Amino acid sequence: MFHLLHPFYLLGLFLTSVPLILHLLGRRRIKERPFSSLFLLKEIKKSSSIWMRIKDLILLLLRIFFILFIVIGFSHPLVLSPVPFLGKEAPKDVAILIDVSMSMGAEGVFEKAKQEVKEVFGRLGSGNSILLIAFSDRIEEEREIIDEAELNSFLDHLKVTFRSTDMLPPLDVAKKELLKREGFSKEIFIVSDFQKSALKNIQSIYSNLRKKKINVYASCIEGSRKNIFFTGFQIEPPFPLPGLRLKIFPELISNEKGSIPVELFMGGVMKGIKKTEERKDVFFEIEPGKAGYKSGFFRTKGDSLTLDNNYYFSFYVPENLNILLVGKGTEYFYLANALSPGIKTPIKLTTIEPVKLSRINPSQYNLLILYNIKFDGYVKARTMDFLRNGGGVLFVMGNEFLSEVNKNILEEIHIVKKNDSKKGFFSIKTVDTGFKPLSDFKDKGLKNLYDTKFFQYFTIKSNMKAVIQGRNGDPMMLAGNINGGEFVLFPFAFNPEWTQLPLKAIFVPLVYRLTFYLAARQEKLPENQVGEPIKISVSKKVKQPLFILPDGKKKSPTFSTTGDDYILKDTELPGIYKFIPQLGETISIAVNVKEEESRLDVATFEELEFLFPDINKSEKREGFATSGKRWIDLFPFFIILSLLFLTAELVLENK
Amino acid sequence: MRGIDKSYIRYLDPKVISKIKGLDLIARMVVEGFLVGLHRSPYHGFSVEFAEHREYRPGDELRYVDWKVFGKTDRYYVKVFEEETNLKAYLIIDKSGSMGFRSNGISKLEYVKYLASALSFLLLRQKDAVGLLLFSKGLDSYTAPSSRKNHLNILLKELDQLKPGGETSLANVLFELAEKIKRRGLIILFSDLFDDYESVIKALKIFRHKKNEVLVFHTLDSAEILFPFSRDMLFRDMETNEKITVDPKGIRKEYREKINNLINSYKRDFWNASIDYQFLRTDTPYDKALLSYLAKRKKMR
Repeated sequence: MFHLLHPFYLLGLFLTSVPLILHLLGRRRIKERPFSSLFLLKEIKKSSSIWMRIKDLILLLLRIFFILFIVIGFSHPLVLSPVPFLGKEAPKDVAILIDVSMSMGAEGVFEKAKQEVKEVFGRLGSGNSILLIAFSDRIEEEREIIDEAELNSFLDHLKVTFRSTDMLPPLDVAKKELLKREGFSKEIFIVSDFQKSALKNIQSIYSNLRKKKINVYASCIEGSRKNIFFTGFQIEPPFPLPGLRLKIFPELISNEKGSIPVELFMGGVMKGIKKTEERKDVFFEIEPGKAGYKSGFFRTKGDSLTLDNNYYFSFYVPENLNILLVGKGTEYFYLANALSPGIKTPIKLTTIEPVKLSRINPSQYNLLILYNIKFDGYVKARTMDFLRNGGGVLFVMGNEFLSEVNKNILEEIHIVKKNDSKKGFFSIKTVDTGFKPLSDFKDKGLKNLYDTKFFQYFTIKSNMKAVIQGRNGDPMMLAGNINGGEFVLFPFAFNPEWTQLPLKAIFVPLVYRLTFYLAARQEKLPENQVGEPIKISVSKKVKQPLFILPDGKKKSPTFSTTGDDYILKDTELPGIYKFIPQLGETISIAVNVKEEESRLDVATFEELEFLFPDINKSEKREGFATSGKRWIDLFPFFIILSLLFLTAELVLENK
Repeated sequence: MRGIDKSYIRYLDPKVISKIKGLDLIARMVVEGFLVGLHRSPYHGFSVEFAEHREYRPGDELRYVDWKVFGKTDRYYVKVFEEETNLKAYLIIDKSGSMGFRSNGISKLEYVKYLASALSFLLLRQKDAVGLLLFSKGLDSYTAPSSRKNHLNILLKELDQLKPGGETSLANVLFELAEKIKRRGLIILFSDLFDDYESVIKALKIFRHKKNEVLVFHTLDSAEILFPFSRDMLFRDMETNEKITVDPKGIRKEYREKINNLINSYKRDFWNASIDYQFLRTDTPYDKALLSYLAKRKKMR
């Protein structure tokens, strides 16, 4: 292969015409000189004239080639030339990537990984400069290793992080570094447990590596996959209030069967310990105490990966629940009655006529309930604003909603997929679901209404359109989203029996529960994960904002003017981060490890082979290149050649 | 000779003498310079007419010792004579085009002109008869030999008008001259000898055959020997106007060999034919030529 480093120098090839032009001009301009007698010259000329012409021609060629070689030399021609190594392995460029993401912290896995790195290093032989990259979802450390001592020192201080896995950054760095180097073969060794979640984004870079003739070898580090980890938590009621006992439900997964111990810690004290099995609800009952941020963590044990055994949570307990009820006349009497179950319950219910909604900004309320009123004009505008800002709205629909005016609007809001109902689209006017849910509850009696079974039956599914379904699959209650806000359509007038619903005892707990569910929309804290920044939105800039990290260190956040957010960039540890906007005020933010990292859902080598053709096991690296090709710059060769031609020209010229 | 200024020696240099005007002055200067240089040489005063005594020096022939003076003074004195002869010398000058060649300084013909003038002066001073023959393709002019006092003016006038031109036909001219010169004498040839080699030798041998003494001044320019030209050149023959393109550097070595061979051949063959040969370059001081004349003259005595 041939390649020019500076091809524009070839423009100088025009200079080769200079000697030719001078030669032609020189022939015409031979000086005439009188000489005494030509008889001697004539004798010699007979033998020398042919030589003279040949000499002229040779001189011309020497001059042309002199310039030609100079020009080619300066354009730096590169040739791919084979270089033999006489039985020794040709120098190669190698990068070893070692995974230090949290999943590598499973029992014995990281030690195995370190040992594998040492073995790979040993198999490569001496004399190679090897790039070692420790990675999680980013490059944790990168170092050039030459000998075993350096390798051991590097591995000794290497630790598993709480971060997740992303192979794209280390592969990208390794590719760029290897391509810069001049070895005869390029190889990347990946030492990892190869979690499936980390393999999604690397197919394109892998094919790019193969195109660049970089071989990729995999060392799949296996270990125990027994892991118990938390995926979240729920509180019941979802809108906590001072004085209301709270149930905290940890959501957990175990990939091994058996009893799982769960402990709850709040305020540095263990609040309880329970044993459960996977997919079985377990909860702790607590007194939330005064209004404010509450935080703590669940802990489990007995699995192989301990780094995710703590699950941190925090939630906010407001002083009370503010509800704005918009209705006409006395129709909402039952509803208002349902929302005021007792004097101690800190629910503030404000009831207004629809006309007054034009004068009230509902943003100060936790929940907006529209009771059987026309959904148009300013009612619609206010409600949509409220939804867009993340508020919860309960539409309690009676006869008023059946008017022709509202029909289209409602259809617009509550989109129910056909598949959600056996009878197709939910028709507001004529649907008769044949649903008899009330009879079921009647049989169970009122005392069971607060029972957990009741709520299991009426599971409010936040990500589903049909909130309540009958046993035959008919949707009874629908939920939808508009921006951050959630609404629930409660069309009690669809069914003659439902029309009487407010009169029935079941209506009270149902509305009560819906109220708390929808009100919680605004109050829920964002879930934060290790490696991701924490954003705290503030209404105005504070003087000396400060974060206290889980390890007690303090750090000042940066302020983003675009969203009026305080941002803490580095979240290396899981735990409770405390933001202190001003003295005496603390916002608790729980940060947990990424769930995907806890799943220990690893790919086998066969799966890797399927995803990445040509990938090889590290130990299958056989043989070695005893010769290779290298780009050689022919600049010196051409310059020497041109000098030789110049010397020859000078010698011949003076002969 | 005592009164002669020693600075005359510089007039033996062709470059210096070429700056002087008037051939008679040139002739005089060259000869005076030559004689000053010759003052202590063995060539001095081989005249037959007694001129003075001088102290004996080793090398002087015993026959010139004045025994009478020895008897009176007990010292050896030798007699110094002024030469008196009836020698006829013919100065034959090649005035062909090629003699006009000059590379630097004076041309071959100018060199020869000054040398001939000096020789004429010297010969006439020694009471010899001097004749002058100029030739190129044929005999261009002939001045009969004479030893009269005003003959020098005639010769110098003739030499003064000398201009190069015409082709050389040396052999033919020499054959013609050989017929013309009846009485034996001294033939002095000034030429670059650029002619057919065999013919030249053959013609000069005829002079020898007729008992003439022959002295050849083979005169060449330094450029004709060294061929110092560098770039390609179109050489034009000064006699025939023929042209030829030559790469001087390419043929220099061969040219030099050839010209040296030619000179050596002339030297050898002239020697074999008992012809005195003196090779002169136009930058050779004149005393060298004059010395060879004196050596020749001595042989003839």
